[in-house]
Amino acid sequence: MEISKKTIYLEDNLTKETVKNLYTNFKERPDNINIQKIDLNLVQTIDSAGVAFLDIIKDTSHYQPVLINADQNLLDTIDTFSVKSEKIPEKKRRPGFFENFGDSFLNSTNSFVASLYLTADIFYWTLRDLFSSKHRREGSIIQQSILIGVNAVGIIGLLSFIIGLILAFQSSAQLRQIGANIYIADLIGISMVREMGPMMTAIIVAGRSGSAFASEIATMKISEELDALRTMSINPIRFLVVPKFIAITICMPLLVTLATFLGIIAGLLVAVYYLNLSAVSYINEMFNFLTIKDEIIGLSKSIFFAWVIVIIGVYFGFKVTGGAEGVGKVTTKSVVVAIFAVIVLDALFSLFYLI
Amino acid sequence: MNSNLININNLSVNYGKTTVLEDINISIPRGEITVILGGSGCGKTTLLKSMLKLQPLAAGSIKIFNRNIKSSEFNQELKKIGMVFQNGALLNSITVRNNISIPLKHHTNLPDEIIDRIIISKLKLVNLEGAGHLLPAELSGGMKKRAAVARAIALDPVLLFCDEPSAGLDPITSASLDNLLIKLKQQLDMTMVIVTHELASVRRIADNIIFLHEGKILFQGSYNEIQNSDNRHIQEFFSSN
Repeated sequence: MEISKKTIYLEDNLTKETVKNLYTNFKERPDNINIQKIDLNLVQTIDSAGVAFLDIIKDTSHYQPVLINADQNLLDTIDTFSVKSEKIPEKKRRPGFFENFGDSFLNSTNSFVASLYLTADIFYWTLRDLFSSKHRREGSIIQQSILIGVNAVGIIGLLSFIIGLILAFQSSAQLRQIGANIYIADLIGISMVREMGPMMTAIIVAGRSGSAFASEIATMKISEELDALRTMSINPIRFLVVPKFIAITICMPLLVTLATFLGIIAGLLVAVYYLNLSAVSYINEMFNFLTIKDEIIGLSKSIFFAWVIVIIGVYFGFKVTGGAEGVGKVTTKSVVVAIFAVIVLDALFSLFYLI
Repeated sequence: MNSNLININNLSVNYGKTTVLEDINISIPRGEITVILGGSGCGKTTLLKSMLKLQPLAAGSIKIFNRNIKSSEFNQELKKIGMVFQNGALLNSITVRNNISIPLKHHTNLPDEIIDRIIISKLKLVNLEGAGHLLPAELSGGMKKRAAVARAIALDPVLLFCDEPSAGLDPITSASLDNLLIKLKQQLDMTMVIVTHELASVRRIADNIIFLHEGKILFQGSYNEIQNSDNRHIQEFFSSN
């Protein structure tokens, strides 16, 4: 490249391989604003990067330079790729603090109202389908029960057993110091039946099944499967959500019972092998201490947790926008919100039963 | 020097136990537009994907730029190839502009000012000026397809594969896309392999036509030749379009 007498002489190839150096040299030249002609006599090939470079030469100069000595093929390529110095669309202005706050508040309110509508819909269609099996997909409740319940038995059983062990070991060290070994049975019993059993099961189910609900429905929405159902006059909530709702309502108490049982067994092992209690005394103490009310509280909580998980998962699934990325976002949100909701609901239950 | 850019010899491709392509032998000439025609499920997309190493070969070989696509050296050649997927395959998490900038930023050391201009130029070519800041989810199906074309030609590839580029486009946009492909062929000596069902488009752009039926080649030749073919499947295909 050479600049002389207000003419820039270019040669060989103006392609993406050569343009970087030409561009750097051109930008360093103080006389680059005075160019009136661009001589392409010695240019052999040009691509879109080369044309972009020519455009930059034209836009930098104060004189609207003209192309000279270019063959027709070069001129055609330049014509194809050349663009005026168009402005890149400006990015949207970032909203301020109050706009963000107001936006979040409105979104939360709208989401809450929408989830109430969804809840009403789910209960309505569940009640209708309980009394009419005509619209129920054959085997769908069993299939969902397997996915939500049977397939979760392993992980919930193992984690509950480990949590029982941890609780028992941590408390037994303290109880031993004051000679109150036998109270390990009360402690493990009440914590597993009323708190840890239902809550840990709910958290695992929210992670496993809640995320699956959200991603399944979100994927169906973006691939227009939900629209297809609607055009066939099939209510997606009735078709897709009700089987999940019924299945989780059945499975959750069973999973909680399993989790509670295995947690108590873990406590029994610690009591027998670490605290030297007899199995009979551990079981007797537990049965004397626990009441049927404790069991009812634990199981009733589990049903509410189940409903919260399914409603949140399904709500976020229906709310998806965008493509694959949107599915990922709503899946993550559904798990986070469901776990948060389960813990808040647990706290409310604690308050309620205290009163 | 071999004037064929792509040489396919005795290619067979299976999906599980099903043979999708059988004993395919094709030579695709440099600087021309080759259109692959055929009914649904005849293996057109599979053939395209095989050439891009996206599909394992059961038998045979494919050479592009005189390199076997199975060789490690071929990976370098992929920079010279563009591909327009059937559904666009844009990255949904980034804007159209950023989608087009990916190959430019990864495979060149061009300054940002040049890259910005190339992006604007490519968007203008596909009539998507002003849509660069949008996310793919905010585009219509036809716009997505055009954005995918812009991304595929970002690096002015030597070889361009298009899987049904006109599908979902209105006739005017489809014709302007055809004109763009012809321009790219003439001005940049680009070789193209295009899968399409649109016969109007085939008539406009095709230098060579390959007709597939049930995984086998029934015909290779020009548009005029295929129209005069006495093969029953080809006649059915043309008469029903």
